[in-house]
Formats: sequence, C-alpha cells, structure tokens
Amino acid sequence: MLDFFTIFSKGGIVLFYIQGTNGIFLPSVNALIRSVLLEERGGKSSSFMHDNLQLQYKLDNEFDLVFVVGYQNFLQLNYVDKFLSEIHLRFRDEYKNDLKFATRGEYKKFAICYEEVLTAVEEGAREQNARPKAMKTFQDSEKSKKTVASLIEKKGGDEKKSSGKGGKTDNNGKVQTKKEQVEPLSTPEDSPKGTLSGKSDDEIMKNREKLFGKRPGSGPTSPKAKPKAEKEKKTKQKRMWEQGGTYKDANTLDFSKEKKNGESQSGGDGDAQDSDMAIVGSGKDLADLDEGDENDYESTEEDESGSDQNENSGTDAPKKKLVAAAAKKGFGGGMFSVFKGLVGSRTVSKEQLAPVIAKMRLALIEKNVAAEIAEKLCQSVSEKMEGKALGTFEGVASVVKTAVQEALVKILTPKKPVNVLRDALAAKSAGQPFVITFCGVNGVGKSTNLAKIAFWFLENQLRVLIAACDTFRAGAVEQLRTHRTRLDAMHPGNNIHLYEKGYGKDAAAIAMEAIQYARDNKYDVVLVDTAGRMQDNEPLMRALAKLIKVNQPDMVLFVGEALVGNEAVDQVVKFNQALADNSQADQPRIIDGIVLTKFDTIDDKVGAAVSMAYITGQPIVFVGTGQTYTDLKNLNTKAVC
Amino acid sequence: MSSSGGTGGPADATAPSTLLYSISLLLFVGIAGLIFYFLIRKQSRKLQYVLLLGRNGAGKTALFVKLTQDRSVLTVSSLVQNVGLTKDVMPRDSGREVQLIDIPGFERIRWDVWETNKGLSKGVIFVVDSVTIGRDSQECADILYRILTDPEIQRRHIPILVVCNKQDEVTAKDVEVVSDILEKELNSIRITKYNPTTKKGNKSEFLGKVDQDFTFLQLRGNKVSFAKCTARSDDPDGHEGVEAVVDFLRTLA
Repeated sequence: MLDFFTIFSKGGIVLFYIQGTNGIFLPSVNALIRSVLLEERGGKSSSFMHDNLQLQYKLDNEFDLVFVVGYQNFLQLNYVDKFLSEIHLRFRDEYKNDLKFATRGEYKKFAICYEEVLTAVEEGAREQNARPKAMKTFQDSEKSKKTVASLIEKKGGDEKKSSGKGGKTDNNGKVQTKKEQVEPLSTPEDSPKGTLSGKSDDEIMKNREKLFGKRPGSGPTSPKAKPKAEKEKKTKQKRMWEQGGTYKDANTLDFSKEKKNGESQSGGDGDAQDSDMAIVGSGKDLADLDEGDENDYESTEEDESGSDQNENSGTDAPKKKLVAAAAKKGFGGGMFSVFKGLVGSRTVSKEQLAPVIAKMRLALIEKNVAAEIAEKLCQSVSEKMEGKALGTFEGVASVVKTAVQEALVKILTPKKPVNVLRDALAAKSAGQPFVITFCGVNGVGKSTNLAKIAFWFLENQLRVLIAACDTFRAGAVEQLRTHRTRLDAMHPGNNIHLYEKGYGKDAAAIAMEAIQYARDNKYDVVLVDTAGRMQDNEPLMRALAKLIKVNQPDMVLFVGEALVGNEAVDQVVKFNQALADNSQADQPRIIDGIVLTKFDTIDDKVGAAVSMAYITGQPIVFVGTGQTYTDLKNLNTKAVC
Repeated sequence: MSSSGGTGGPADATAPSTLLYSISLLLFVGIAGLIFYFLIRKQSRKLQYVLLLGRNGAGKTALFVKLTQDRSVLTVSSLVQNVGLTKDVMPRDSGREVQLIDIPGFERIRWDVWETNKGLSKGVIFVVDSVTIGRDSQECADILYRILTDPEIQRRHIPILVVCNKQDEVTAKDVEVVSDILEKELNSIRITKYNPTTKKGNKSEFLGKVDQDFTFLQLRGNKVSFAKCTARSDDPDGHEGVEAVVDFLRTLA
C-alpha cells in the first residue's frame, strides 16, 4: 500500500529507504523538504501532496532524523500516523547505540523490522476498519483524538462552543485554524489573566492529549487488542488530567503573568529606541540608494554606520526585541530547567514547550504579525523543538527563542537571490523591455514607489517608460506626469517618459501599447502603474488579472503597507487568488515580489513583513521608507528579526 | 540601596565559612575554565575547516559523504549542515585531516551557516552541477560572487576550488565551459552590484580589473582553481572521481 518509506538525516543523507511501486521518490521528498520543512509550514497536518503522492513525515529532533512515508493520494490510509510513530520507536530501539553517529551507520537490516511493523499496523488498521460496522456508529465518529479535545474545550470556555461543535466534522484541520483565528482576537479584550491561563490551558490539554494519543499506539506491539483498550484508557485518564492539569498550569501561568506585566511596561519604555530600520536615514545623496541596494546581502554593520543619528543602540536591540519579551516571561521555567540540566542532558517535552510557545505567539502578535501566521509559525517551531536535546545550561525559553528567530530569518530570506537590476540588464541585452507591474489596494503608495523605482533604474543608466494604466482615479496620470518631469530634471538626457492615454480606457490595452512603444523606442524598463483596488472587488480584480495575462510582465510586484496586521494576509491571499483564478492558464502569473511601503511609520511593529512573505513565499524586493526618491531600500533581514 | 544594605548585614555575620566556601569555589571555577580553554584551543589548532558550498542539488552532501566516509549514498535536500572529518580519504600515515562542513544549498539557510563558519575556514569548495549549470548559471554565480567578495575570504587569501560535479553524466559540461559561463555571469553581476558612484564602496567590492572583462586570473588574493569530480561513483575501491578534491584538501592540511 505504501509507495515508499525513507529515513534520512536532517543533513540530507538517506539512511534507509524502501521503494514500492513508484519509480523514484527523491523528487517528492525534496519537494516536501522545500515547501514544508524549510518554510516553517509544518503545523498540524504534517502531510503534503506532490504528484499524486501523499507524503507524511515525522521528525526526530533528538537525533536529527526525518521519517517520510509516501502513498497514492487516492488511498485513504488511516494507519499512516500510527505506522510512523511505531517505526520511529522501532528504529530508535534497534539502533539507539549507533544513532549518535547516525549518518555512518548501516541500516539495511532494518528492512525486516519495517516489514514487521508495517504488517502489524496494517493488520491493526484492517481490524479497526472491520470492527466499527458491528459497533455503534456514534462511537465510531468519536474516535478522532481532536474531536475529544474540542469536546473538553467546550466545557472550559463557553465562547468556543460553536467552533467546538464544528470540530466534530471530519476535516479537523480547517476547523482548527478557524479556532486559532478566534482566539487571539479575543485576547486583548478580556482581562489578560483569565485569557492567558485559559488559553494555555487549552493548548496544554490539546498537547497532552496528542502525547497521550501517541503513547498507546507506540508502546505495545500486539495490535489486535489495541483499539478498544486505547479508547477506554483515554477517556478515563483524560478526566484526571483535566483537573490536575488545569490547576497546576494556572499556577505556573500566574507566575509568568506577573512577570509579563512588568515586562510589558518596561518594554513600552524601550520601544522608542528601536525604530528598527537600520536602513533609515542613511542619507540624501543619489548614490545612497545604490548603496542601500548593495547592502542587500551584507552585514548590518555597514548599514548602521550610515545611520548615525538615532540608532547606535543598533540592530541588536530589535533583533532580540521580537522574542525578548517572551523569553523573559518564560524565565521562571528557564531557571528551573537549568538546575535540572545539571543532573544530565534532557529533551524538550511538549509540556515544557507549550507555555513558552504560547508566550512567543503573543509576542509575535504584539509585533503585528497576523494572528494566523503567528499560530502556524509557533506550531512549526514547536514541532521542530519537541524531543530536541538541550545543552547543559540551556533553558527551554532561550532555545525556543533562537528557534523562532531562525524561523523568521528563514521566512524573510528570499528563496533565490533577487537581483532586479541584473534581470533588467539581461532583458536589455536580449533587446526586450523589462516590464514590472505594480498592484495593490488603494492608497498604499503604488505610484510613489513606482517613481522611486524609476529613479533607481535611472541611476543605473537604464531608460524608463512609465505606463499610466490607472485610468480611474482622478489625478493619477497627472501625478505620474509630475514625477516624470521631476525625474527628467534630475536625470537629464531624455531617459524617462510617460505613456498616457487619458482616463476611462482599458488598462490592459494601454499597457500593451506602452510595451510595444517601449520595444520600438528602445526603452529598457517599463513600469506599469495600475489603479488601486480592494481585494474583494471582483470586477476590478478580474481586470487586473486580464492586464497581467495579456501583457505577461516580467515581474508582478504587490505593493503593501507595512501598517497592516491581519489584513495583510487577506490582501495578499485574495490578490494571488484572483490572479490565479482569472488567468485561465495552467501556470498562472501570480505575485512575484512585494514592495513594503510606509516602513518608516511603523516603529518596531514589523510583523506585516513576516506575514506577507510567509503567505506568498515571495521575497520583499523593496522597502519604501519615506517620501523622497531615495527612500527605497532592500529589506535587511537581520534588522527586522 | 537600603534594601541591599539590609541583606548585607546577616551575610556578614556568617562571613568566615562563606568566605572560605566562595574562595574555593572561585578557584575551582578558574581551574576548570583554564582546562576548558586549553582543550578548546588545542582542538581548534589541530583542525582545518573547509566549507562545502553550492546550489541546492549540486551534490554537496554526496561529495561530503564521499570524502568523509568514502562511500556513495542517496541524498535529499539538506536541512542542516553536516560536519565530519576526512580521515578516510586522507593518507593513513600522514595524520592530517580536514574538518568538512557541508552547508545546505537553500538560499535561506546557506548564508546563516556560512556567516558562522567562514571565520574558521582554510578553504572553500564550491560545488557546481555541471549538467544544469547552463540554466542555473545566475544563481551559481551569485553564490560565488558573494564568496569572492567576502571581506574575510579576501583578507585571509582563502583558496577556492570550483568542483564541477556530476562529470559522469553524458550531458555534463566540461570544466572550461563551466569556467567560461561563471566568468561571464560574474562579469554582469559585478556591474549590477557595484556602483562606482558609491562613496563608501571599498576597493574589495569590485572583482577583478575595472576595464576588462572578468576572468578568474584577475583575482590576486584568492586562488580559484577548477576540478572535475564525480561524487556519486559506485566504484567500491578508493576515492575514484574525487581525486582532484582530495589533492586540494591535502594542500590545505
């Protein structure tokens, strides 16, 4: 039934694999790594689709191993989860002595164990499948672990009643995310104490159940008697845990709560100092823009030396800022674990992680990261951390902190190097204009940043044509004309022109004519300005999709404000969706990059950058940081995290 | 202030034993620290670090395993770096060994690992997929450009070996072709990334000679050499396919 199974180290060395019907499994696994494990998109499901294959994975963080199973996606295999955890345990049992040097080992013999485990699990599943027909359907529907969790939540917090009921339906994933959206929204309104303890409570409960759910599956090797016993045990123990757990956790959370209050106050004082863009205010000269551009991949130091006025305290402060709050809150736990650490090395358990992760999530949301994203990020981090061995003097909090930091850097770093200028030059040498389309909602600064980018291209000796495709808003064309006049005055030599056709015309047609005009008159870059539109405005979105489909620009930039919070997700998702839906192509053009504007106005609330980059998976190409033409920078990942 | 004075009082009362205790503790910590320090120093002096770098899928991990364990394995994309000693391929009697660090090919991870490890490196091996270099020349050159312009690498004259991997494949490009492609790409990159009007742009930024097309020979500080390589050879005996790389490592160790 399974197409393949493989164990590999996180370093990428395949230790063991079983190949079934399908020819080769490496591409699928690579795709899984690239789009799930590396993107911090782990989260709950831990499954992934690629080429008709459903992949499911499990991480062993202690020995840095990954277990992946793949099967045809039309098969509904309900035993894969169990199989993964069983084989994980089995593998550890077999090779526990060698795993310190896992990549050197030979694991050919493990094939026998693999067969054993697989048949055992399959048989168990078959039996389980056969049994329910004789049993009550009601119980059958209740067997999912998460459903039970949602039932208990209903008792705890009545506000979640509705979503708890929704949880009974089959696709847990969706319901879960809905719930997550609800939770963080409610936090600021309630008295902080109540919600904090309440929520972490829920999370801990959930986590415990998961943990518990794993244990019976993994322990005994005789699968036949399992399902029934599992069910009975679960309900009993859970009740005990509910009482015990709530009480204890409330206590611990109260401690951290006090600390948190103090921290947030002091944090408020400190907020002023870390207006975190090290890039801000580096100068007025034309050259500075290019310099900012060069700093792209360089260390932050150079940026800093340029910005001497206010941020000598430096990029280090904001670097820690995002996570510092949470770290301090979790300090009580950290202290304790240091003492524990003196005894011997230990691994991070889910219980230890839950409160720290919960605080981390709050800290992220405080920094304006969209709630949904913060939740997913934290889940992926906690999945990565669970079972990881701690050093002797490391606390859970600090380890989680660095993990989150790493995750953020990973999200913000582009997947492949962005060099717009080089692409433009390549297009130039091919005799084609390089076309960039700007899109975004109203008033985010499309035209302003288009002018800045035009200036940047002019600086680099490229001829620019601006296509005024905003044929709707009054004054849009005139605005661009003014920009062009100014830019022309700054860079004399007939290198920048505006292609305009007045108002009320079809934007796609104007863009097309403009590109043709640029081709004929040897322009190197065409910047297409479009009208701002709200993401819910269906006709306008269709028009935008048409413009992009017809003209096939080299780059589609989404212009977004750094000010937005949860809205960022909605905007980007809907724009992407509209472009994909309306293009009628197999490989639709979607957003290629993001221009983040008004970055100078947001102080340390840099979350929008994270949200947008996470959602699209696309790089933040430019950052607008002010009103003048030179206020265009590259995002400095280190400064933001 | 006042509170600290208050707590100071009772502490003084039990002074003698506390003092003795703390002195012995200090001594102990000091000695332990010294031992640690020497241990670490001894280790770091002995080891020569060499970094394996390249695009995702170029064959870094395969080469790494070949060099450290002398066998061929299947590999998938790395999530974390691999670290290992090359003693299996080095001559037994020499006692020299090199610590290899295989840096994941993903842009998002690569530079983090690079930044933390470049300070220790004695050499850099840049792995290129000779089959796909035509398509991925930009990205490859981008990575190489960043290595070559790294102040640390330039200052310490770190030698760089460009390994043209996968030479066993039929469509693999020759070493000379790979070199040509990279030179051409680097030439365009150095123009787009470097702007002469920049006041702060230091000399080291611009690769090679300003008025000529870029060639690797123009690089004074860093010796860039090329080598053929087949990391995933099924040859059971010896280090077939990676001799050139081993030679490079020997010159470093």
